[in-house]
Amino acid sequence: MTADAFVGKAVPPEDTVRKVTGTALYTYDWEVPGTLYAKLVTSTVPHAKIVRISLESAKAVPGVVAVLTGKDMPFRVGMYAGDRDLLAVEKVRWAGHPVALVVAETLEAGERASELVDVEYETLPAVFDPVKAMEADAPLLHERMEEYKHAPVFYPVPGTNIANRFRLVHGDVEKGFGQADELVEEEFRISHVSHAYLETQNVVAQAYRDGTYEIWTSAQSPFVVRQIISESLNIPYNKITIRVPFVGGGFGGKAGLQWEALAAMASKAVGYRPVKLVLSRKENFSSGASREGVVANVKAGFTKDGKCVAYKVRFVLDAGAYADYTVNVSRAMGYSAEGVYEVPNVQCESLAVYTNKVPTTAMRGFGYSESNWVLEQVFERAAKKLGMDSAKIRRVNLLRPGESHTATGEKVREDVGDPRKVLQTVLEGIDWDGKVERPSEPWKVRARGFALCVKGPSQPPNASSSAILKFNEDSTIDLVLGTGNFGQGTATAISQMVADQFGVAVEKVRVDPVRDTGKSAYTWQTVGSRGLFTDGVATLRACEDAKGQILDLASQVMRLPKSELEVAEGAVKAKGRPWLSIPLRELVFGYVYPNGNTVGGPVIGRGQYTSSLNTYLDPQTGQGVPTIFHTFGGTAVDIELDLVTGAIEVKKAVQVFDVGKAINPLLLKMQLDGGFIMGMSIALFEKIKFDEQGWVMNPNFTSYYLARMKDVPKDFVARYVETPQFDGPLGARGIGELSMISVASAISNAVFRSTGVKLNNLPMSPEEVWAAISSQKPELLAKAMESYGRVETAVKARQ
Amino acid sequence: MSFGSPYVTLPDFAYHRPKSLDEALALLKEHGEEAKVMGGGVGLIAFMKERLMSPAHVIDVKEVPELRQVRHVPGKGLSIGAAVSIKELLEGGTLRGYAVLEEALARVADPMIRSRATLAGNLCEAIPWVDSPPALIALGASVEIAGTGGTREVPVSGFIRGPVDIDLNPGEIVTGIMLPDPKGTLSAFEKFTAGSEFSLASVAVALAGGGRKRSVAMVYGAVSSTPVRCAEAEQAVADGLTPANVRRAADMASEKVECVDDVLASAAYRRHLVKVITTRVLRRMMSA
Ligand SMILES: Cc1cc2nc3c(=O)[nH]c(=O)nc-3n(C[C@H](O)[C@H](O)[C@H](O)COP(=O)(O)OP(=O)(O)OC[C@H]3O[C@@H](n4cnc5c(N)ncnc54)[C@H](O)[C@@H]3O)c2cc1C
Repeated sequence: MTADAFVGKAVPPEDTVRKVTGTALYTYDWEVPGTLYAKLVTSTVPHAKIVRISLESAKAVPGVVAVLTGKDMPFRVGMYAGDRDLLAVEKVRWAGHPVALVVAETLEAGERASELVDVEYETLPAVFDPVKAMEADAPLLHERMEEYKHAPVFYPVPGTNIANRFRLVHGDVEKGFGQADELVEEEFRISHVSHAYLETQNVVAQAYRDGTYEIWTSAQSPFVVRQIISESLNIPYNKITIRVPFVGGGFGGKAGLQWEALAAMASKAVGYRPVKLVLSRKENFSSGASREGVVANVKAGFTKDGKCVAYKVRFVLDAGAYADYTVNVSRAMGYSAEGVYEVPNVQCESLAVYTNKVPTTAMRGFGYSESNWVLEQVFERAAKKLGMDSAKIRRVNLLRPGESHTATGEKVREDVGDPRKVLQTVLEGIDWDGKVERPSEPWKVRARGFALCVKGPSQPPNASSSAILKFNEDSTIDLVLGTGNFGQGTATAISQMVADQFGVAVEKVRVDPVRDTGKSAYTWQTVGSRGLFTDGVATLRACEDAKGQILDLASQVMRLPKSELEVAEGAVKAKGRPWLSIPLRELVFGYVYPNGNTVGGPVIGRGQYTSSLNTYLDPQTGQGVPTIFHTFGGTAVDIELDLVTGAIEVKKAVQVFDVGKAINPLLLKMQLDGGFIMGMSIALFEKIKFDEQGWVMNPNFTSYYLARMKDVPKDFVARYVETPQFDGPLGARGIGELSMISVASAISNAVFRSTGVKLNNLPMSPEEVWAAISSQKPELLAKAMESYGRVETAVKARQ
Repeated sequence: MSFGSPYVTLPDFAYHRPKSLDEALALLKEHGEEAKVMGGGVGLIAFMKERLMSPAHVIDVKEVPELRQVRHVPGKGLSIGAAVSIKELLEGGTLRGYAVLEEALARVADPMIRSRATLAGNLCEAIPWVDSPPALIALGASVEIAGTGGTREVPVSGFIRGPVDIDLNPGEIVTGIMLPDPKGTLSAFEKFTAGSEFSLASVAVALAGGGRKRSVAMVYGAVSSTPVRCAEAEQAVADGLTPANVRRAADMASEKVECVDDVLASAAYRRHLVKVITTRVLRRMMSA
């Protein structure tokens, strides 16, 4: 094998065969003998003191082993805000809040008993609107916020509902507004959405009498699950083992702690028997965490020549009852406010606010999708006001690598990527200057629009990764990684890099499908599109380490200086004299001389990665270096808008990203296509609806719409730019989340450019679009209805 | 207690698979209110999981030969056995002459569900947004019911009494649906969906006869708790499908059809959709 046999090639994901043959095992498949089944009992009211919980009749149901309440496990848990409970203690904070847990021999018994748990509530005033929740007399969700263990980079405001207040000040916005010729002022809203992973949240936990815990869970990041449980419940890290088998999708919704600590405590409480908790889709919607809602108010100033000279924005996040992870989303939303542009004067405030609704958490895009929805539309509106082409206004403001500073004051490195080339490729992909096709009907509008985006992982500066590379007897390789595998194919891409490092076939490199905190190499989390980058670099270092050991041994055996040797084509070779070579197989488990004397032994390489470039952000101004890379990209769409029904159909999608190096173009294309579809589904359909008590009204996929196959555009263009990043693995950058960030903005921009109708609220459902058209451009709707009703344009009836 | 049903498992029940109508009726008689008939089970099983229904006896009629037939009854019309799947009905031109029903059924759910679900089940489910009831009402179809006391036939319009409420007594079974002879009936169906297959609004239209004896039925589904006819819209096109009449019918329907606000759509949007689909369906019929 040559040194570039696999990197850059379309290698199919390593888990394909198991997945398509149904042999991939998920947490749900773990049926340990003696397993008990747990069932949540959840609050029926949004905000109330718990006066009394009667358990007798539930306990009397045959098969019920225990009914647990918050009193049995009064822990406060969490990673960033540290605000969560395992079961409600003293009060409930949303309709759906778990108040008790039935543990039974069968699920049927658990379900039956759950109906018999009787909770007496003393109702408290509730608040559902995040803006109202910030008012002085709003009911408080967390009275003792000051006691919570917040991570150092968050700024809660005790005595209010504000879980985090992020501030960014760059330049002087008021001065900037003074220089502006045109202002854009808008309010944007984003609805709560569900991650809609196929596999609902589920966990199997076993506590042992020796004080250890084993937990199988459908999670993205086993090490952080262990960290939270250990730190919150005061159990040493090495007494907890988290095992993650195949995962049926995460999208950020399984990034932090889910139900692992609850199941573990339940296992202990019932006498050390395994406990399995599987959420139904309905429970996942109404008791699990979703993506937060947002209300954003923005004011931006532009000069006549298109320069954005001031940008002032406030994001209010509807974080729900618990904001453990959402405080970090609010931070990312804040520091990403300026996207791909250089704006001299920026002021941003981003507030995560508690309300009596479902808790919220990370989701693919992590604040960047939300800030992009605001920013990219502001630029489109400004372009129209200034009579300027959408591409031109962006060129005027784009960050210039090697020169510009971001809104957090970070100097944009030369090797960060090429935003101009990205923009150019987006425009070419959609044939921006070409003629827009005619709509299929006179009451429809055909239009093009685009949006740009950028993102990096939102991780603490000390977040690290590691990799262990073990040779087997036959010189095949077991690569030990910690980065999660829930569909991205990161392990495949990293295996390709390893294969090329040793000049062996990619099939010779194996990554175990199960992640296990006791066995896997440490990685902080599998979030933020960081896996390929951070764990990839760690792996390349592990390869170097292993190669060093191999070359040391070969040098001894071949009696040649190390500097004259290289690892290539599955062997050690003398440079320039390839006939002098020893196959790896004869080295990686020690070299055996003809008389049996052996030197060396099993080779194990190790590598780690921790960025040395990141800093905390200044608490007052948000200045600093928050991410390890910035992936630039953009989306363009060609849409057809039905003015009569408000339905938007995407005819063509173009996705362009500067990935540094396309390690696996097939996986990359799958991310770009999949990300588009997810982004489009959220853009056009998805919305968790709440009633006046904060109940989720559509906790299933018949009333919570997701895009279907029929909604997917027929014409799909995925392109990439390769501007290598010097500290990336072979120059690569992350891509996973990126691919959905600019989708909604691109669609909305297409509508605005062609009709002047502003779509400020997500989703752009047919009803939402119809309402916008009828209120903003009634004449447009009237005209459309007119042509719709005209007989000459009638479609032919079916015979 | 939690909000709504906490269940994902099925309640306990005995499963019966009768091989004749008599056997099915005997089981129904024996178990009375405790029994539920199952066609495709698409709805029933979901309802049972939600504990909206907890029958102790489930009587699966898929192997009852009398219910598996589609028969032409001279002088009456087409009788569709209750255990015939939607997919089977859509094959081989069975529904020729009943365009409105064929179009409605062709847009029910997806191919997987259509090959399990039955027309009778779709009708008996009587949830406001299912598609067959408006079409059946427009065609003047009736429901054939058998019980221990004999058989009876009721028009579909009366059979659906309210949301998830039908005129069927314990011990009774729907054996079939009778579509009157279509002679010369021009009919069509339209629905609007957003995201999923379920209608936000649907309309079924049937025009029978000509000249002065022309009869018009315009039935709206998914906009209200039960299918609703709109007499004013029917009136508007009674003397023919002209551009002006179509416009008037669409305006009337949008004004008169009572629409509800629910989790799928607002009443205002539904009213607008009523106008849109009325225009669309009538316009198609004009050019037919
Ligand atoms: C994902 C999804 C999408 C859907 N989309 C649509 C759609 O687009 N349009 C639409 O119209 N519907 C839709 N449906 C509903 C579906 O079409 C109905 O559930 C189905 O038609 C019911 O038929 P069935 O034969 O399975 O009925 P079953 O589930 O067997 O029965 C339903 C009810 O009818 C009763 N019943 C059935 N047969 C008889 C009988 N012979 N006598 C007396 N009572 C009887 C049962 O007791 C039960 O109460 C959808 C359903 C799903 C799950």
